[in-house]
This record gives sequence, C-alpha cells and structure tokens, in this order.
Amino acid sequence: MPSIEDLPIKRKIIVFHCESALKGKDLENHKDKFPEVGFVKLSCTGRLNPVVAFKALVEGVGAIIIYGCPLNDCHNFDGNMFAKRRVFAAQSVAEALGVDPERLSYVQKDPLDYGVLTREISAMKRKLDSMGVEA
Amino acid sequence: MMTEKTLAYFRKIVKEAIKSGKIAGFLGWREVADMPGKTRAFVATTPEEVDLLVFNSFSRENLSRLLGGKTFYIPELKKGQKFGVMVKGCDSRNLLANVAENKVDRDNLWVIGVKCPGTIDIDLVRSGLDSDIKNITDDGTTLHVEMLDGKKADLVKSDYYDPRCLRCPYTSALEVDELLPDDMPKKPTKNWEKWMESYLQKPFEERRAYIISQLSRCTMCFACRDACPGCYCNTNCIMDYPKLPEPYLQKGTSLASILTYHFIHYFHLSDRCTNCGECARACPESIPLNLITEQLGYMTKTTWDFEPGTSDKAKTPLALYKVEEVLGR
Repeated sequence: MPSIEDLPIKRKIIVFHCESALKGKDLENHKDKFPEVGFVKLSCTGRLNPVVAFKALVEGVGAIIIYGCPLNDCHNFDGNMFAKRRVFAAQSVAEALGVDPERLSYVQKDPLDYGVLTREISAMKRKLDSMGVEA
Repeated sequence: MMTEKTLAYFRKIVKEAIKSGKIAGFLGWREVADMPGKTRAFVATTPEEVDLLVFNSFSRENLSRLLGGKTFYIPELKKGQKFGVMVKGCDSRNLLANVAENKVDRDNLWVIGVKCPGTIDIDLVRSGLDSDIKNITDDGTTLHVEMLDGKKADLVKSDYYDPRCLRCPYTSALEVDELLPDDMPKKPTKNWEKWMESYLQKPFEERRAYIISQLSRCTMCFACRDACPGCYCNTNCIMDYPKLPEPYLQKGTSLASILTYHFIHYFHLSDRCTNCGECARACPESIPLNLITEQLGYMTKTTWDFEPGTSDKAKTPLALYKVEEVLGR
C-alpha cells in the first residue's frame, strides 16, 4: 500500500509563463538570475490545464509559479481572468487532497513593478527552506 | 417510505401516462430480490411493470446519472412524447446542473419529485448485527430487522441515516412537473457549514495525514467516476484511454497516480459538484470522498456565492469573471 513517504519534494521550481508577459531581454535576465528554475512558455495562462501543474507537484517539484499578464491587459482579452479563478479552484482541490496549496501560486505582471516574479521566486525558495527541503 | 395512499396515487398517474402514450417509459427505483435494504434503477415501459416501482428510505441511487451523457437510458421518443423520471432532492439538483450545461434536454422529460425522508445506510445497519439480514422494514421511526438466524431486532432509525442525508438542506425536489404529497417522516438535519468550518480550523498537517492515509487505499477502480452524475464525458475520459502514457498515470501503484486521478476528477467538478455523495457511497474501499466534495462545496459557496444545481440557467463560476475583478477592485 502506498504511503505518505511516496511524495518526496525536491528543490525545484517551475514557472509557467505567458509568452506575452515574459519575453525577450526580461526572460533572459530571469534565466541568468535563476539558472536552477525551469521556465515553460505558454500561449496564454488561461490555456494551462492545472492537472499538469498538480502532476508536477506530486511528482516532486517543489513549487509551481504561474505568471500571467497584468489585470485588464491580457493579450488574449480575458485569458488571465479565467486562469486566476482556475488556479484558485486547483489550490482548493489540492488542499482537500492533502497537497500544500501554497506550493502553487498565481502572480500577474505589473507594468509599474518589474520585481514581481523575482520576489515570488525568492519567496518560494524561502518557503521550501522553511519546509526543510534539501537540495 | 411512502404511505400506501401516495404510492397508489403515484402508480396511478404513471400508468395513465404510459397508457395514453404521453411518456415512452418511466425511470424509477425497484426492489431487488434476495437483497433486503437495496433498490436499483428500473425503466417501466408497460402498465404492469409500473407496479414494481417503489420509493423508500433505501432508494439511495442517484437517477440523474442515467439521464446525463454517460449511460443514456432514454429510449427513442415519438414526436411530442416524453420520458418520465422520479427524483428526490439531490437527484433534482444534479438534473438541473446537467440541464444548465445542455447535457439533458429538459423538454423531453416529465419529472415527478418527492420530498426525501433521508436514506438509510444499509452497510451501517449490517455492521452492527451478528447475522445477515433476511428482511428489513421501515415504519418512519424504527427499523424492524429480521435476521437469517431467526432473531428479530428493532433499531432506532435516526442512528442509521446516511451522513450525506443529514447535512443535505434540499430535501424537496426542485423545479419538477409534479410534486407528490408530503406525508413522509421528517429527517434530522445538522448544520454542515458549521461542521466544515470546525474541520477547516484543524491544522493542515493533521488533515493531510488523514486524507492521504485514506486515499492510499484507493485501487483506482473508477467506481466514484462511474457513479458521479456530474461526470459526463462518456467515451472521452482520459482514464479510459486504452494506452495511457506510461509515466503519466500508473493504475493503482503509486500515491502520485492516485492523487492525480482524484485531482482530475475533482478539479473537473470543483465548481459543479452538488455534494450528492454518490462517490463516497460507491467507493468499495469506503474512502470518505465526501470530505473532499464538502470542502469544494464550501469553497464555491463562500468564494463565489454559488450553489450548483439550484438553477437551470446559471453559468458555473469557472466559466465567468466579474468586471470588478478585471479592474482590480
């Protein structure tokens, strides 16, 4: 019978980002700054199936960050609004199933503040530290 | 349980409808031979078969599952003809939720509603007895049990209610064509929202340890999916693909696969689940899956102020957003 020890957590962070929100020099800077973080490009965060994110969490990825377009400025009109609700629902289901919902987060780009994603990645690293996840 | 008078009235109107050709068939519950305390779904197509239809506290199966996309029980209808179905409170909510998503054509249905007296968990009754049950009857307050070894026992009914019925606020069927007279005993109710709040105040680690120890018994038989009235992808379910990508889902071997399967099921239902409790009833390993659906129901109600299955027009919250959210207010 499988047990709770079958769910190991590794020190790995994956960012699912919208191709319009993070591109060009901005993306290269983030990749240089965090070489251990995986960046996955999506056409729109509204098209991300949360099953993919959850599957990564239970397979051992430490944290998932979904990075979308700013409020009221989605490249595809309203994809980020659906993504926001969908990720909230996914967090609720994950909590009910016994997976820490704080390991899955949704942040939006802010045109006036370029440090949102950097701060979120650092916060996730601190969270993994506090959970006692080893390298 | 129904009184004799109501049962006779119910059978009379169904017989008349079948004789006049108004309905092509009637979907209800019938008793199962040699299985006391169980009923099963049954389609009556002739007036003689109508005499087999019953409704009592053992009619636990949710019939709206059979009207959705999964198993289509409706026969071919002539023009102007309908198909009859009997629903209790939880079935009517699932029917409305499927009507709202255009999975069922409400114009083809003739719906008879009953005011549900609460159902009895027959496995709970059986677990407290020494011998197996030969016959069981219900008079509203007491269960009279006759056992195989000849002994008789009278049990207090209120101890053996299905837990999902105690927390159900919708005893009466919603938006039906005909509601049968209310002559059934009242069931006790408890405030499930208060209970849910006290459950959510427990530390996360404690809840996690409990639910994972329960879910680790899962053998991935998919009985919860098959019993679910909200799951209607009949042939397109990812779990039915003959060749699953091997590293993606391994049936019943690892906890990651079990959790992923349950995540797929409950994420698809996260804003549509009416908390009918069929998944927990169908589970052969008695995993308390109702804990998951109740948290989802609480989340949907407190966050979006939405109760699935209370209207046949409303869109579900995951298909919507509000203008205030876009503007960041």
